[in-house]
Amino acid sequence: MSRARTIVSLVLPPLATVLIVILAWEGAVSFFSVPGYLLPPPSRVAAALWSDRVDLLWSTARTAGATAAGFAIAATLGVTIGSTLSFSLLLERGIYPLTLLFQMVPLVAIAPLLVIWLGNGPNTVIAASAVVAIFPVIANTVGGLRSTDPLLEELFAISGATRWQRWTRLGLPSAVPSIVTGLRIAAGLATIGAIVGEFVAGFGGDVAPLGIVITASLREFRTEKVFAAVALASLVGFALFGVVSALSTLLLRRYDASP
Amino acid sequence: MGVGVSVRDARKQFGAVEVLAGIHLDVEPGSFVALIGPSGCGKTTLLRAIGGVDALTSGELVLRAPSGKPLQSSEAEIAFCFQEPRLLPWRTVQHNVELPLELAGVSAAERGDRASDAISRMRLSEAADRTPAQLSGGMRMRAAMARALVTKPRLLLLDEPFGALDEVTRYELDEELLTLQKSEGFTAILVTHSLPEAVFLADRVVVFSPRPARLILSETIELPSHDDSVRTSDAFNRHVRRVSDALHQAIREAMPTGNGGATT
Repeated sequence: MSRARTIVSLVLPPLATVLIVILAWEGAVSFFSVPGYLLPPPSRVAAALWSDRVDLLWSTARTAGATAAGFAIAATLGVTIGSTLSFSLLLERGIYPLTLLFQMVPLVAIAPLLVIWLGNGPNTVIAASAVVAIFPVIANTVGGLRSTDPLLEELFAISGATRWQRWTRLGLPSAVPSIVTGLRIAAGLATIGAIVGEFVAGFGGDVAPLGIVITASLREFRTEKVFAAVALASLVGFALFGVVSALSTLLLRRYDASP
Repeated sequence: MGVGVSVRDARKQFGAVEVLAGIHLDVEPGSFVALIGPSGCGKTTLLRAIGGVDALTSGELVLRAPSGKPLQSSEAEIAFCFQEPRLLPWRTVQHNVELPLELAGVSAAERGDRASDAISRMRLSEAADRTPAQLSGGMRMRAAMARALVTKPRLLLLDEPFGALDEVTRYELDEELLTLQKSEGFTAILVTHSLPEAVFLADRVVVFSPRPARLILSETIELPSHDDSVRTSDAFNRHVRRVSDALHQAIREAMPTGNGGATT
């Protein structure tokens, strides 16, 4: 199969599904005469997207910026924490289980605390995004570093490698495929974190981010605008996921098969 | 050039299991010694002890410069070659071969040159920019050998290095290894299961009994030449025969009596 045909066969089925769902949704809303504030038809969502396009574009940019910042912090800190933990068994045993807290404590419960510490505004949004996204990065860094080939470990030990050399030249490169998987998961979570952060740390200014657009439109019963904002928020998640996936494909080209 | 090794009464216990039961072994500087014995007899254990990877339970192990001066294992410039090539999958051949120099803090320019040189000695230059996944088994082993040789070792420890290769590739690498060992003068100690390989490569073949290992034969090899044709010569076959007989006798003796004979 040619490359072009592979892409078509990958892209076409989900597109067709989306199209069918939109058509069915449009048909069902008009057939059952569902009121617009409960479930607006896709055509009205599209109209809302179009009429508020400039504002929505800026809102999306703002949310996307916070998401990207949160993701970047989660990625950097996650790899650093995961690596530090794997440097010592004691640290790993003592601290690694506690990092599960990032996973266990619901973000909505700690988000108000973030507001107290960081105030209303983008800092809280970025922090919320980083807090939910960091756990899979830590877990996959630790997991990846644990799965280093023992034969290669021995080679490095015999060659008199220092701990730092072992980490930079063996541990980290071995862990890359696992870390990349963690980053993919983190990309989706970072978007969720940012939107939740915007819900609680609602900051206005000239341009409201998507989370605020959602809460404000809800209050005004402009359900079609809620849908428009949700669609854009998913787009942010997809875009980040796409960028991370593309980068990881580049990074993993050398890892196609181990000898 | 090469480093001499002398082992006195080497013993090794793993828990209750006795692996080495008092081994005496002398390896002359610049010589090639092959260790042969049944699987699990402790050959690899001895090799790793000589390399300073594992400690002996008791016994004496001395590495010496050709002048007779004792050396620490860190001064002896030891390199290992394992059965698995142990290459880093994300690095090219060139960068894999540079690794030992990189770990030793050699400058980038110098290690590039030295690695290229070692790669060309292993006749792998055209594959220098490929990753291990793109190489055949024989080429991976060549890369591993180049990595072992790049540090200019004075003692090369080979643990069954060509065991996973096909026969033709194995013969080819045997010959190249021997040529390099003769020209560079390092001492080589080889663990192998192949009697013909041991006889072809070594100046001396040392035969171990089943575990706990004792030394049962030390056969000095004298061959008329060292090219491939020698493998069918009478001298070659006589040596293989003697080593094989000693090995089989040791295996038979180690078997519980009345339990039938050893099989080949």
